[in-house]
Amino acid sequence: MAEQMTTDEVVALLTDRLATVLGIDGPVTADSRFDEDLHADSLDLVEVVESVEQELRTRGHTPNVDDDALLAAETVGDAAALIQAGLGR
Amino acid sequence: MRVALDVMGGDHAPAAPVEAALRAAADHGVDVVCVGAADLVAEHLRRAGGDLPVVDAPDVVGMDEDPVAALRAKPRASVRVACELVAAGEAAAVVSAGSTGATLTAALLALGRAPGVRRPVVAAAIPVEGGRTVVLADAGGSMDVHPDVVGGYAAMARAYAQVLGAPEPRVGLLNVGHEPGKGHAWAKEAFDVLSATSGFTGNIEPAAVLAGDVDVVVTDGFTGNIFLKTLEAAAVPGDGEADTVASLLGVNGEVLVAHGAASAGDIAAALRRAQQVAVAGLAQRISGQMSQAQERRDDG
Repeated sequence: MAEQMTTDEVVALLTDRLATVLGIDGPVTADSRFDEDLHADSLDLVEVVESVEQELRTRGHTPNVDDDALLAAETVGDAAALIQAGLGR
Repeated sequence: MRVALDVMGGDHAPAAPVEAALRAAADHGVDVVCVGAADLVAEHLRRAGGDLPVVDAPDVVGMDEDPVAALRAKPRASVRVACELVAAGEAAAVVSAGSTGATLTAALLALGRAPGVRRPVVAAAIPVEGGRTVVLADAGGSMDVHPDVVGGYAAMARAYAQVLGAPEPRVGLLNVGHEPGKGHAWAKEAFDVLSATSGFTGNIEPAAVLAGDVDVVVTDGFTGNIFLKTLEAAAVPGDGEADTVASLLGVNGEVLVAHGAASAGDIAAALRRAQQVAVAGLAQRISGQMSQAQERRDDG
């Protein structure tokens, strides 16, 4: 069974993917807002989350994210918390 | 080279896409694989007396659905499965007459973006005065985008314009006047972004676009789609065959977007075009140019 991940660890995965997938450079933190700070819309968010989900599967997890809540996430921390919560289902 | 056709996409699906696939295969030798609900596609093929390969994709993204939410909920949607065939190397190009937003989303998720691309763009080649062509970007892919994406739109569209024969493409920002400072807040910010872009000549009004004063015209997807549809609506019947297919630039594969109302003839023409761009390696050429631009930025 895969080792449980903390929200901070998921935040780290998300920030890494935001940089590599979207090419966002500069500081990205849990408090970064997708719209105002990162200029990322729902399409960008889902692309990044699918990349994170793929990584989590390679680590033995079965991610199960609430999509409605995900698409309403305002910050990187919000999205990370939803992904982390979905790992426990 | 095989072309994957999303036969569930468009106002007249699946009948028109299936008929188009059969026509393109019979008349032009296009190698088409039909992607859609297998039983339904088989029935339409049987009725038409044709036989083509089919890949089962039972779900459809409706024109009225939010593309991102719908594709998350329907991983076996026909447009996504079609894009995945290209990602897997089982097809060289995709054609869909379905929701443009869904095609963009599916392509992005299945194929990924080319290096240095912030947001892929739907580019339409518009015939203008003097037999020239203007590339319109965005023709309807992303309705609400931050102005900082327009530099990438211009770079990709310039690469496309070069493929179409313009050696040093001139770029204009579609606006309500040609003077700097014209337009709403989005346009003013986009102007500032484009000011650092190669070939940028400033704002341009629709009449000057149609006069061929630029080779590339950049705008947001909302405005661009209205501009394109106005041109289509104003076209004089008998002007010749309308070009109802656009290319999605900035993803790692050839993706063509046909008009939602496309007829079987339009989709057959799009399939022929898909075969041509796959042979020409349009996506690879644009990806190469974007990589070089990224390297220049990194070095600078």
